[in-house]
Amino acid sequence: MAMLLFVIVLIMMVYALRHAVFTLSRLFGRQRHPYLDIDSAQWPMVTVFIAAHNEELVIEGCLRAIMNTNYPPERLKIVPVNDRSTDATRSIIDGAANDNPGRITPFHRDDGKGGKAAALKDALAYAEGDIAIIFDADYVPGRGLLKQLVAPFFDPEVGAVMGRVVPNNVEANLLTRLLDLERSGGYQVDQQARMNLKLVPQYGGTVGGVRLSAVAAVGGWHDDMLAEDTDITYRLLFNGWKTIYTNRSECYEEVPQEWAVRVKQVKRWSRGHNQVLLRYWYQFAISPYLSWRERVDGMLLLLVFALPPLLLLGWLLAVGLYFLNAGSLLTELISVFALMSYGAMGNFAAFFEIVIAVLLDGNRKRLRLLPFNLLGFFVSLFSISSSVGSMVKDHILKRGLVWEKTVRYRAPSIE
Amino acid sequence: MMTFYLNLCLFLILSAGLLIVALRPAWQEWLYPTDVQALPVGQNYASEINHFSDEFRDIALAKLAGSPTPTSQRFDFLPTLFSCSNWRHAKRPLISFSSVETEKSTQCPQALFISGSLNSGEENRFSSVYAQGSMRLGANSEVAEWAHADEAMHFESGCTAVRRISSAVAVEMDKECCFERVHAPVIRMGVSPTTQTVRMDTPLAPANFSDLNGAIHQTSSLTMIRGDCTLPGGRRYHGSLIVTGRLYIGEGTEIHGDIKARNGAVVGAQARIEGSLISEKQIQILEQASISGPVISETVILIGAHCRLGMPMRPTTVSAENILAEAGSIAHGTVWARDLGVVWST
Repeated sequence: MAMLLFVIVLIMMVYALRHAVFTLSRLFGRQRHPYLDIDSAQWPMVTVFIAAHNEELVIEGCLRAIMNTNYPPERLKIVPVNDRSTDATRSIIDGAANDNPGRITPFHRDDGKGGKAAALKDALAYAEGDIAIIFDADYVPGRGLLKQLVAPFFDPEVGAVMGRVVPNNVEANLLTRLLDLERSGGYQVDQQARMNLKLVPQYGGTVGGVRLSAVAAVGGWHDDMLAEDTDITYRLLFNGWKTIYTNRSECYEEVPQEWAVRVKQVKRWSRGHNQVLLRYWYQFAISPYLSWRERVDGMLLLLVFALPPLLLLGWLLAVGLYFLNAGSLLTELISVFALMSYGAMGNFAAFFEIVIAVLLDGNRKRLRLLPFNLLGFFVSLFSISSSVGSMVKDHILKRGLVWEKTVRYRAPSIE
Repeated sequence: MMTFYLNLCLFLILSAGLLIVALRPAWQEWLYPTDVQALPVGQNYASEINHFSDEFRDIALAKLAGSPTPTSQRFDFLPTLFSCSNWRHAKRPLISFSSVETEKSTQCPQALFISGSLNSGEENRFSSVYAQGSMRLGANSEVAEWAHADEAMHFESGCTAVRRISSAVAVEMDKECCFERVHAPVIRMGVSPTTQTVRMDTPLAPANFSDLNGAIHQTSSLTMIRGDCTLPGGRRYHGSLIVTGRLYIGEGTEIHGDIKARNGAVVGAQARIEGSLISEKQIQILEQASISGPVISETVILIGAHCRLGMPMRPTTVSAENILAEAGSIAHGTVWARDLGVVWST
């Protein structure tokens, strides 16, 4: 038991070290933004897909923002993907299409498999050009965002691009404020550091895009995955394509305002991510296209949603061994373990990553809330662990995975 | 027993005290928020090079028209101040109602708007300057922030422009000019002392990337080569290519597609790429080569004499930490050296 605990502590230390390296890279390393400078070019044909399922509160603002971008209109096709909405989403999209003839091509989906991945897969038939940019309906892209997201595709090696997501409902309550801190750490430090160090920046499924020929070459869009973004990232990567993160391509999104919604979201991410882990870890491990650092970081990233149950197991072992009076080795381990657990807060965006990210963003005072991130950490820890448990149960009982949409909060007038 | 309870109480008080110290600011920030605004995302920011000059022009024109300006910016007008020695002490942005022509060295720490052309002597120092006509800065002049001309712009030898330079028509930089970010339909980097040689007129032999040693078929139009790669001269390729090592493109070879060479690329003389060229390392473009798409390096780009980057109807971006352009090369669109760009001549 002590050996098992030792291994768990070692794994936690590896992750803590990884976060420390990321933070140092963000602070002192060379920041890579190789494609950000591309402002003059013969811009390629692009299709923008907006995934919408019951999005009457937000879809109009998103469409308006996309039409207001500085991307050449004749090279831009906008496809709102209305996935079986039961509210006014359809009529709002049709109204916008009628008001802007030739600019919006609505895709209404009335039946078929549920979930964003399945809807996007069907909508891809409407794509024009080789590049698809994907937004969720609650996103409000800025005027220059599309060009910034398309620019990396001038590099033929780039299969996917990811921009930065910024919560716009921060002021709602404590949860949104904590999620704002967590998002800062995850994007401003974690993703950018992975870009700096040529590791594995992750395509997040929205505020980003994919090269359609690359997706086709790696087996197409999989609609049986809960985390189609992670699925695409890994399949592209172990087939020789790169994912690019552009930290300055920022876009607003809504974050959950209720803990129940947050728990559902984390569980969905966890199940999707672990699904990718189980399906591709071997292909990833033996891919000939990866550098050693990409392979190591990719494996660590792939395992990230398997850690919470491991951490819980470690705690149980530590407490159990303590009461079993397991000797001095354990006494030393407990302190290390406690330290590492502390370092892995906030859904694994470590505390120091959050601190540096928030400081880089220029918001000092909100850092005072940092100790409350313990709350978020525990919620994520138990949600993910429970999700892993139910995933095992589903596997045994041969139950399928179910997509659950994240609730929106925005008032229709606010954009 | 009494000691045990005392110790327990002490422990609890100490723990509670430490928790209060740690959590009080958090508690206070939660109950009385002082920092709850969403991170500002510039919805109108589009990284256009003439962003600042356009903004300044709008304010200046509004001022000239007597209409309300977007800011409370106040200006001084040049006719009352038109003596070069005074410009140095200007406290407000300046507006000139007519063209400015002077042989003297001019220093202006404030933004300057000229309703006409600017033709200045040597060793000028401008903070930022907008000319509605053309602009000519004498040798060894400096622009610290930005400069824009609605017509052609010419920098004589040894000029330094460390921020943004743009023109609606053309920018010409003589040898030993240093630049950072330049944008114009035509950017002429020096005049070459050597005459341009005649282009090869021999027919190009069709060739396929898939015939190259170790070629991996990524998609129907994309090939990958792991390691270094040499493309022989005088060939014509269709499709895009990824090289994980260094790439050498032979003289006169023509490629219709995008190129990525991770460890650097050398584009042979008179070679032509109808697409982009991207590398994490150095890119060297030899004389008379042409590339129509973006040219991006994370280190250095060396541009040979008489090279052409972009096309008049297809502007492009050339970007690297450092760019060394040999006199005689031409770019269309944006040339962006993050650290320093230099026009040089042998």
